[in-house]
Parts: sequence; structure tokens; C-alpha cells
Amino acid sequence: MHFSIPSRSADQTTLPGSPSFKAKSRASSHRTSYAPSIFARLRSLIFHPTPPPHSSTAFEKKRRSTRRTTVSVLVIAFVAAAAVLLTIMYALFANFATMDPAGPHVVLVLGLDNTKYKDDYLAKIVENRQEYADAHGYGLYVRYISDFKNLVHDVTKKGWQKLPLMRSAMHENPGSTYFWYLDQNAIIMNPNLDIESHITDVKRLNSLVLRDVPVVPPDSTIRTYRHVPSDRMKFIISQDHEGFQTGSFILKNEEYSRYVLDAWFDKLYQEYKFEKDEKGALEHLAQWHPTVLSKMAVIPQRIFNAYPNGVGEAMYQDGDFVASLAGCDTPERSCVREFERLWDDRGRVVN
Amino acid sequence: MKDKDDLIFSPASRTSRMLNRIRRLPTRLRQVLLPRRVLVILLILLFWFLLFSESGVPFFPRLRWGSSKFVIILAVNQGGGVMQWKGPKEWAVERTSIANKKAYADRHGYHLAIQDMSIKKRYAHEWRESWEKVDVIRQTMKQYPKAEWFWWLDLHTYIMEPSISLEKQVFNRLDNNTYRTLADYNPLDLPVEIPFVDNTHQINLIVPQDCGGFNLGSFLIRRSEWTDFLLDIWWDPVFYEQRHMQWEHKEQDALEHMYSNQAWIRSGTAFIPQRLINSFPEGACSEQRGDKRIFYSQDDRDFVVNMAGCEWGRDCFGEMEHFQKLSASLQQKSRWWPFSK
Repeated sequence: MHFSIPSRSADQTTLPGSPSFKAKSRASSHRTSYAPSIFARLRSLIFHPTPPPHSSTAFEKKRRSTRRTTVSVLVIAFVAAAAVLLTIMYALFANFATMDPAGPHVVLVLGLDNTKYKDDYLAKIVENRQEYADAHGYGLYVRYISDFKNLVHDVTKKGWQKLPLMRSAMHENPGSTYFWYLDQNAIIMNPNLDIESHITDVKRLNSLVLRDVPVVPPDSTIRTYRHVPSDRMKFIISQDHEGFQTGSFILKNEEYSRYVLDAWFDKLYQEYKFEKDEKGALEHLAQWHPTVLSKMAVIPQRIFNAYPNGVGEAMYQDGDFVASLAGCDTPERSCVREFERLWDDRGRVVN
Repeated sequence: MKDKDDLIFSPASRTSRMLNRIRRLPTRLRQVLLPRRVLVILLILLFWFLLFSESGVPFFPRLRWGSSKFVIILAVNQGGGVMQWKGPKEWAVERTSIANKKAYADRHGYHLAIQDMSIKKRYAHEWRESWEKVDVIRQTMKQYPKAEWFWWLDLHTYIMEPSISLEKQVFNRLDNNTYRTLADYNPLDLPVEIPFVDNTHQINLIVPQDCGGFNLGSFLIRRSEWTDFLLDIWWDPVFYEQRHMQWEHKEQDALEHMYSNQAWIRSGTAFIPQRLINSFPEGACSEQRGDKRIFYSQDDRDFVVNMAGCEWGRDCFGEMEHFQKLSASLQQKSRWWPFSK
């Protein structure tokens, strides 16, 4: 049997078989005057396309190379012009106005209760905070908590009033990053410690955060997260043997904090009559809403909320940052007396 | 070594014949395709457009880029036939609604997430029943990680003007189309001002108000940190325990409560006039007959009709048929008379 080997040149691929096609190709190669119809042209495109002629004279080669150089020059020029134009537009129109307003990096928040305490007592507390804030360039936001009594559901439960107080502090200081709420009945005993290196610096916070501890001691099912990195923590608080201690906590000025403060302060939580008031509400929030708990950092109590008459790990020792007189407004104790005992022992700023 | 030119005689075995054919394939392809470059390019372009086009060719496989930033969430199968039998009329209404949304989504390149809202065991009474919307939104946000805006539509809605895109209707002039405070229109009589609200905050939730309050039959929600917080706090056992007997509309009332009490929610919420995305038919809000802010108007060619509450006392099937025919006739009219109303 005879096999025909197809020619390997790309110019003349022929398909065996159709006689009319052969006639057509002969016709087109002789360049007769008959103009092919659309169907003929389509058929020829599918079955027998004519390859483009190769131009290989020296003149055409040079024309091709100059054209190529022109094209590449044009492309480079266009790209350069675009780059220059875009930089100018960015410089002119980039919105520098949205840069954050300035403010102290940390703001101390203090709420004074002038219905139960005398002015000279309150003045000493303000002096204590002011000394600390001045030494480190922090801001101090002081309000009477009676300013917020219209917002709370039950005026006798003083604990709730710290929430609109914090919210107001954050609202009025948009340029500040950290807000540290410290109860009125507490003394900064060691004002030489600054907040960043003592608590909020990322590495320091990472070493302080208690992971996998029950949200409600001793053994609630929900525990703090194990793997959330400390740079995502926006709410720093401590626990005592009963649960969260809201006498001293730090919030970062972000969407999260506004959400937590507003949700925590909701009317329905205030009306629910939690056993521990706002502490109970916070524990409820932390257990039921992972968006709250995932950004909470629980740190050891002695870091910023030690108890002078506490036991074990909670007990205040010399050199600790803050001595907290939490719970001193019960009949068995006296805030003023305990305060006087500690006031003279407090550390002063060393320059 | 055997060269290709040596294949004058076909080798004896079938395998080696096949192997030879395979070896010659690249050469053959080159020989056939290269002279027909124009045709090949045209064919490739044709296939490209067929594969990736928005409207698509029937029976031809289609790939979506999936980069659309809008997702339409259509809630179907409400109840799942558990509490009430689902008859042929209910099925017809569902089919019409789904077809309408599908055509719209295809036309504008939006995603369409059809979510099943049947009563599940975990939604037995006393446990988040009717808060499924929140869980469904969260789920859909996970399914479409690149999308930005999610448009929730109840089943008994009909898009009357499919030529209008969401960008044109809402987003191109978002600040003009929405209002941030209740100063002008406050049907629920909620407190107009509460402290600490930030009106320059980014809008993350666009909600229409009807005669009775917020209407969550057709609303828009954006993917953001604020939205994550909202979807988490929306259901809370303490809120539920104290209020679920009073909250007839469940998650709608919960949102109204949070809007009245929590400033951060106000900061991120904007209202949209009802007739932009949620017109009512004559039967809904019937006490406010004639109120120009609520009812669908044929002359104004409103965008979407929400036949809210048609399953209580009205005829969902009849209304759906009516609006379907009306929409078809309006589209036909505008095709022949593009300059007339």
C-alpha cells in the first residue's frame, strides 16, 4: 500500500480530497479578476488559508526594527508619564485631613461621688491622680458620677455609672489610645511605673495575660482564650476570687470598646438585677458573646488592683502599683480610715 | 532512534500505531492551526465570552469570576412546611420569587444565595426562634468572603424594575439616599437623640422604616467589624428572657431596642426611604392608606415590592401574580417606548 507523507512545510498544508478547493487555489494563485464571495472567503479561511508574505528585504528589515524601537520608546514614555501623574495626584489628593487628632496617649478616668464623701477626701484623690498623670504626660478626665444619674436605671447601684463615664471620656478624647478607669477608692502607690511598660506594651501584656482561666471562678465552663495574640487585646481587666473586678480596667479607643460599653450598659442588663450588678453583667457578656471575650485580657490582680487586706495573690505588697479599697463602702469598713493609713505610705514621683 | 520521517510503513502492533499517532499530534496540531490563526483566535474569544459572560448561554458551562461585591440573600422555604402545609400556590409563589431574583442577579453579575429558612430543631420555641435571620447572614458572609454588601430579601418580594442596578438605586449616592437620624420620620416614636452617637461613622446597615417600625424584609448589611459585633449581640438570653413575649417581630424588635439604647448601633445604621427598596402593596400598612412614603407606585416605577404580611389574611399567590404581570407589562412598554414613562 502506498502512504503519502504530509509535507512538513507550514506554507503548503494541503488536505487531500476536495477538487473544487484545488481549483480555487489555482485560481487565487493566478490572481484572476474574479472576486470571491463571502462564503468562498470563509471556506477558504477554514480550509486553506494563505499565509502572510514574508518581507525579507533589507529596507523592510530596518523599517521593522525602527518601528519596534519607536514602539518601545512610546511605551516607556507612557508608563513614565503615568507614574509621574499618579504620584502628583496622590500627593495632592491623598486625604491628610483624616489623620487622627492629637491627644495624650493615655487618659486616666476618675469618677467622684460627692454625695457620700467629703470634698477634702476627694481632693486628695484627685491630687494623687494628677501627680501621676503629670509625671508621665497622661491626661486626666474627672467627672462627678452624679452627672450620669439620669442615664442609669437604678441610681443606688453606683457601679453602673462608671460605664457612661468611660464612654464620655472616650467620646471627648478621640485622639487618645488608652483609657484607664480607676475607682475613686484606690490609691496609686507607686507612681514611678508607667502604663506602657507595666501593662500595655505588647510583649509585657503577652507575659501577663492569663490564658485558659475560668471567666467566673472557680470553675465556669467558659474560659479565656488560649491563642489570641496580645496585640489584639483591647480590654484589660483583672479578676479576684469572686469574678471580674471592674474597679480598675483599661480600654483601647476603638469600635470594640464603644460596642462593649454600650452593650454592657444596656437597659435590659441594668433591669435584670444581676447579683453582682455591672460585674455580673460583664461576666454574662463575656460568656455569651465571643466577640467580647476574644479581645479581653485578664491579668493578675496585683498588677493594677491589689487589695491591702487581701489574701494570697491579691494581697498588696510594697512597690505594687495600685492599692484598691474595693468594697470599703460597707458598714463594717471605713473608706476614709483605710485611706488615711495608706495615704502617708504612698510612693512619690522620683525625678 | 526512530525518526518521525521513518514512519512509511505502519508498524505491526496497535499500541505502537497509537503511540506513533500521539507522537505526531503536536506537529499535526501546529500544521492545522497555525495557518488558520485568525479563526483560532476568534474561536478562543467566542469560548471565553461564553464561559465568562453574565447572561450565559443555556446548557453551556459558565465560570463566574466571583468578584461581585454584592450578594442577594433570598430567604425561601419559610417554615419548611412544618407548621403549615405547603400547597401548590405556595410552591408557585416560591418559584416566581426565585426566578425573579435569579434573573436580576444574572443580569447585574451579583451573587444569589438562596437560603433555607425551614424550622430546625435548634430553633424550637424559647431558643432563638425567629432569630435565624442573624445566623443565616453570618453563614452567608462566610460563604462569600470577597463580597462587601449583602441584600436580604424575604420570599414575598418582587423586583419590579430589573434594569436598575443596586449601585444606581442606592450606592452611587449613598449619603443622599439615606438619612441618619429619626428627626424627620419616626413612626415608632423612638428617642431622637441619645448621647455619644457619631454621625460620621461608616454606614454598615441600611434599613427601611415602614408604618410600624424597622422593616427587615429588604435591607442591606455590609461586611465589617461593626457588623460582626451586631450579629453577635443581636440575640442575648437576658434580652430574650425579659422581652420575647412583647417582641412580636423578634429580631426586628430586638434591633429597635438596641437602636434606642446603644449609641454605637446608631452610629453605624442609616435609614433608607421605604420606597427605594421596600415598597408595600395596598394591603400592607392598610391604616396609612394614601401615605406617599409607603406604597408602591406604578407611575414612579418603584424598584422592589415587598408583599409583607400577605400570609396573614391576604392572598400571596394573587398578589405575586399581579406584580409579576405588572412588571412584565412595564418592561415591555419601556422597551418599545424608551422615552415615555
